[in-house]
Amino acid sequence: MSNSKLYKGSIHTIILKLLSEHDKMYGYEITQKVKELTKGELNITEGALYPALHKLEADGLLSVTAAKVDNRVRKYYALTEDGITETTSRLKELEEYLATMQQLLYPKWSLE
Amino acid sequence: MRNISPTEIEQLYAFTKKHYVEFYDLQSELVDHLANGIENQWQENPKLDFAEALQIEFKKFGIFGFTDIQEQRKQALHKRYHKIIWSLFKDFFRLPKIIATVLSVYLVYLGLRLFNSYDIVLMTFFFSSSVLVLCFVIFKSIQRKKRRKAGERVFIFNEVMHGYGINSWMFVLPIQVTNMFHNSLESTSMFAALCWSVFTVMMFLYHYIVLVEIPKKADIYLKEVYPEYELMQKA
Repeated sequence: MSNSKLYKGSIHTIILKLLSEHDKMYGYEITQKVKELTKGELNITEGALYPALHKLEADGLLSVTAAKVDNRVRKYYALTEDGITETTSRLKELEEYLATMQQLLYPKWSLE
Repeated sequence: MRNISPTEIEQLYAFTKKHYVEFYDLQSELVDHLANGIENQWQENPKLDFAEALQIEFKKFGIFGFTDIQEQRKQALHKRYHKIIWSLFKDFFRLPKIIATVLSVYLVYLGLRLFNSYDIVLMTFFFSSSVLVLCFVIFKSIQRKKRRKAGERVFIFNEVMHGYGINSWMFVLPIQVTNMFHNSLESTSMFAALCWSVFTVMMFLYHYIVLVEIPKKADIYLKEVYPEYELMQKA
């Protein structure tokens, strides 16, 4: 069953949350972790994940460092100060959204 | 554990180029990703053919392959470029540059007040400067193409900076705005002269930033945007 519309817009939040739990991560690592976290529920391709990463970088929420690893150059992403603030804000928004949806689906009736 | 060899890395670069990724910065990021994916597959199945493993990894990028990634990356870097322009533009309204800005507005104002009607002067000025800017951009573009050696590494942001932020509005806007106020009863007032002076200086500042200031500091901006830049130059 297609659930992509429900998840649309969550990719950035998922990436920010992941990076808030790690010092820095590189592209492949992030894509693998996102797939692992969403347990196949979200059919997200690398073709969608990299644009999300680049957009977060362009918005100043992620900083980039690089290192030579094996025979190639590896780009690492980490949260900036703004990124840390934005992550907290987005997670809070998501919590409130989930609480509202929970109330819609399972209303708690009260006489008060 | 089986690792990607230098020859296979070169093949990965060729693969990304074959799939329409023109820019070395993005090619490198994708090469690292593909290499990681292939090495991961080799952990499960060390005898898997390199080409087959590569196709499996490439399929994970979806039906559009790398195309969307390149387009989105270009957009993201254009956004960053515009942030730099805006930041440099704001500098002209802080000390000490604000002195030069205000002085320029005053000099243009004095110049305009020598004329009975501003619109012909302004139209002529804006049209001539648009032609000059266009010639400059074309000349620089031809120069860059001649200097570019075969196999030179092309970075998206470098291309963005040397595109000079050229948009048709840069040429059309001043002439359109002048035309809007053509023959207006208020067009010869002191207030009109002041407005035109401010507008002219703003347009000049924008052109100066995109045509001179940013290209002059291109190397600095490249290192800011690409922390991997020096590593890539040595690779």
